[in-house]
Amino acid sequence: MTKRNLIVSLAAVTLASVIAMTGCSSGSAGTDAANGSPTDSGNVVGGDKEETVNFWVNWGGDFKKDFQKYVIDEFEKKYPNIKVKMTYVEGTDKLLTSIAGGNPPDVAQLDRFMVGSWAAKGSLEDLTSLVERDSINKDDYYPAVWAEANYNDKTYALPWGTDDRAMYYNKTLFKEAGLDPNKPPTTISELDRMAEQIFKKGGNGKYDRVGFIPWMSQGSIYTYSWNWGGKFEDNGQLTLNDPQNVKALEWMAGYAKKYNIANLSSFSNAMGQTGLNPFWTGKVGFIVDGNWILNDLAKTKPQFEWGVIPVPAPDGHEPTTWSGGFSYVMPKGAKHKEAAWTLMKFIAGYDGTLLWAKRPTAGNDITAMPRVNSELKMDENPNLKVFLDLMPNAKFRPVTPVGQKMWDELFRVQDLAINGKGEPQALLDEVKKNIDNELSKITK
Amino acid sequence: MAASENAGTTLKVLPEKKPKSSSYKKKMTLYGVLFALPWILGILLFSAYPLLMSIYYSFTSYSILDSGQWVGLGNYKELMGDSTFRISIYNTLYYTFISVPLNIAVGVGLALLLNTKIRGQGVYRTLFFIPSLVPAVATTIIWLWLLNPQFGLVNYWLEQIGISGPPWLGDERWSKPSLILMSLWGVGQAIIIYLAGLQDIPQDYYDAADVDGANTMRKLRHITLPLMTPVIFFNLIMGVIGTMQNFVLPYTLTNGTGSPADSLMFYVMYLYQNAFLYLKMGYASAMAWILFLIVLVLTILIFVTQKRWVHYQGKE
Amino acid sequence: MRNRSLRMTKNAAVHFFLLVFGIFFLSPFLWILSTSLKPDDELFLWPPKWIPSTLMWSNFPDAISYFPFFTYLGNTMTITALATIGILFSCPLVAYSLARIPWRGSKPLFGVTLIVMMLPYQVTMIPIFIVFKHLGWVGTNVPLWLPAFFGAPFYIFLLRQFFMGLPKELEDAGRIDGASELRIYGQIMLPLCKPGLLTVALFQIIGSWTDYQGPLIYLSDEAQYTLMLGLSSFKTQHGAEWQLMMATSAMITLPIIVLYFVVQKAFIRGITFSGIK
Repeated sequence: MTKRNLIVSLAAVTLASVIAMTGCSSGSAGTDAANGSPTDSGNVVGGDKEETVNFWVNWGGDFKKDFQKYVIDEFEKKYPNIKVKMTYVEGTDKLLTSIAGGNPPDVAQLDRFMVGSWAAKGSLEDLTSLVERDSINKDDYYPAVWAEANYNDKTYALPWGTDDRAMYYNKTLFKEAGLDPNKPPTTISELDRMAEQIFKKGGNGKYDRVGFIPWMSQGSIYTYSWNWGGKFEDNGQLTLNDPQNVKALEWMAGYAKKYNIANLSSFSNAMGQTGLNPFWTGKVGFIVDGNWILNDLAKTKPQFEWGVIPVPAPDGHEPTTWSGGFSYVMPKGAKHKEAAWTLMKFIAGYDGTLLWAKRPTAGNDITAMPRVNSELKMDENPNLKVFLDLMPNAKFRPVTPVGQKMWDELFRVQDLAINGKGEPQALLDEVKKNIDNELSKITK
Repeated sequence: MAASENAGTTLKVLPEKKPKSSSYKKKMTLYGVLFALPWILGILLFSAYPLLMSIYYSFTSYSILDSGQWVGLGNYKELMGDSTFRISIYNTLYYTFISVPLNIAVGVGLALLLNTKIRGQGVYRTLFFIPSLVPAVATTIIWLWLLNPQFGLVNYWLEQIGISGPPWLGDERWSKPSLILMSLWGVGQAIIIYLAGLQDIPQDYYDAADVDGANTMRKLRHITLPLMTPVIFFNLIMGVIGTMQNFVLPYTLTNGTGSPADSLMFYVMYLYQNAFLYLKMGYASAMAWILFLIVLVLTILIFVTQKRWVHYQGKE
Repeated sequence: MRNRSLRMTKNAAVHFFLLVFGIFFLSPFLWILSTSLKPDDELFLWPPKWIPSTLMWSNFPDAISYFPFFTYLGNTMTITALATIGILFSCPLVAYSLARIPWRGSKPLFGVTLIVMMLPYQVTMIPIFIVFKHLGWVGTNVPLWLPAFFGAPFYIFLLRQFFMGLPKELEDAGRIDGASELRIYGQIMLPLCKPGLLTVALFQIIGSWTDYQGPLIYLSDEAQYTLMLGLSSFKTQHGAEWQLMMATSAMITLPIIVLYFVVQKAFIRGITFSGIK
């Protein structure tokens, strides 16, 4: 091969790939569109219009298989003209990207917590008129659950699934510490006293047994502020430095001081995501955690006795809890709105909720609809009953465009406070200022 | 640098200079462009637009979900008053300044050991490489399990030999050192580069040194290390660029929180939060360009020192 | 005699160091293997247990049937192979231009190459996505391998270093002989750069194999998903199927371990000037 030929061929290779690219582009533009709906543009021949709804869920594996089998298959039986293409998509990065790129799914599962900020950016379809048209009854859902699906008096999501928090306590450690396992604490001062009795140091100066670490697992400034009667939102204003919130944080930081943060952190260090729950190790007296850890029992088989109670509140306050969960949304730019809405109504409504809750592997999950929970007699499980009883009055995180930032900031100052880096009042004042500042930029 | 002098004397059998006529220059330019053509096209196709857009975003309140408004230098001004931003710069520089040199030292050291002709060389080499192959999601969980202060294997071992283990990721004084330790676990990739670099050193240099009766240390100092400098230089630059963008491990380890007490809040973590969680892509883009400037300055500094210590055989 | 015993002590010392460090490097992986064979209720035992009471080999078939393992494996292999071919085509060419061809654009282009790496992916992700969307590639695997044919800065820089490390006399000799640049590149320089090329290929294989973000963003049909996406499907709302996830991690890692074990033999000093001429 001569030099020239080589150069030519080199150029040809490069050119070929460019052509291949453009070729691909025109070739796959079709599939891209088809991706949205392979059937509605091409195969429709009058009569009943068959549509395919693109539906993204957050979990793959068994969740998806089960959801297909117990809910979606039933839906497709009931609505033979609608096909559901369920795709497993972890996290929100891809959903964001797809909305930015203008090719979102028709229905997506979204953490209810995010509904406010996404709606504020105008990226979710306003469902209010559909909700009114089809008389969706908000009283079918728990108040906190429904509230999270609404922003500025408009509905942007249909709630699905929920959870809340309560206190687990170790009866065996109660006995060892000389406490009566049938008399768990009902107030914060009792909790403090009992926890102190359970704390026990080992030979190496570290705790062998831990009474209570307020910030372990689901214990957080959110949990305690509400228990202290504090508020995060009042008349449309964010009240992060509410005096009761400050008191709650001071109480948390008090534990860090009293029991030495270095020794406590070795117990509480980010275990949530590892599947290793400190409570099930049997070395922890009290923990604030969600109903979902009841599902761990099969895996952990704890060798001790335990019970569940509402998280105690200070004297003069009622114990409370807060709840979160998921929802279904229709991203702006969804192509098959009517079919998508039919699907949403089904899976987040009574039929779908019941079908899903009845699955054999439902475990200790609770649904967003009180009627379904009572129909399935979930409260016959004494542990789950504690969680269910708290649900009607559960609090929820403010639905605001700055919800995520607020969450992260509150956890950040909580972490700073328990590490002795700042006073609760000053820290919460600062967060309030930052968040208000953020908010003013968005709403102006 | 003994090696280069040796090479010079033994190998200088060729004419000093080739003719550098203008036609030669033209030819070389043609070749240069031709060889680099894929990449030039690649930059134009895939890099130019994103780069320009991210500059543009940095002057807007772009949120991914809506295009936002022009805010001028607003994002940059706001960053100056952002305390988490400042903390993340500190953490990131701290991490970079310790982990990059440490990784180079350990990497070169292990590569030299792995290059000695010993029994089981292949097994050893593979063994050190395995950690860089494990998917990140598994790595994170394994480390959280192993380093769990109370229930983890590492502190269990330490306890067996009478040492009371530290709280590792649970304590702000230990968290960054723990992370640096974990980063060492991934040094296998760099080792491969060093090993490959070691293979490029011509045997002739060692033969010549043997004739001179040089011992191992002398050969190491005057042949091996100098001739490894191009790849060390590469790992230094890439190490700085990479660690300044440190993200996956601390993000997944702390679930995005950067705890304890913000000690693991790294620059790109905060950038990511702003972009994808707070929907402040404009702000995040401004962060990206500040990071760009910091990395650029560090890279230029390294390049300035290059002449003093990096030795290319290909240079005249 | 003295020399030999000296060598033996030296070897023993090398073995000692490698073993000590080796434990540090291997133990997390061993823990993955151990976890992958554990029954449900032994994951979080205290004190930790290395050998499960019953070896749950069934975790492996369970893991494989949890998601369409072989489909995803095939998809991953396709993407990996195409991307690696692309990298091996483009990067040495560009690196050679930057390192060895005396032309005025080489320095600026090298600068741009570095600059491209300095912006975090997180901010360029959306505009890149939009580019690919306009090209019509979103929803296909094309964005995951085609850009490789246009070069990747990391590898270009790495190979540039290798090319620059080769003695200058090589191409001078070629140019004096009147050989074309392509011949000097293809017949002299490229073969000498074999360790560098192997390294680059290996890195790209690992990169494509373990890429998560790319497939997540660009693939929209589960039939096209890759192993990493499959791996993340072990995550559940409040935890994960740990032992299955670890079993899959082990299975995903193993082929590359074997591949490396085979390839590393090529990392043996082979360059001598006498060999070149």
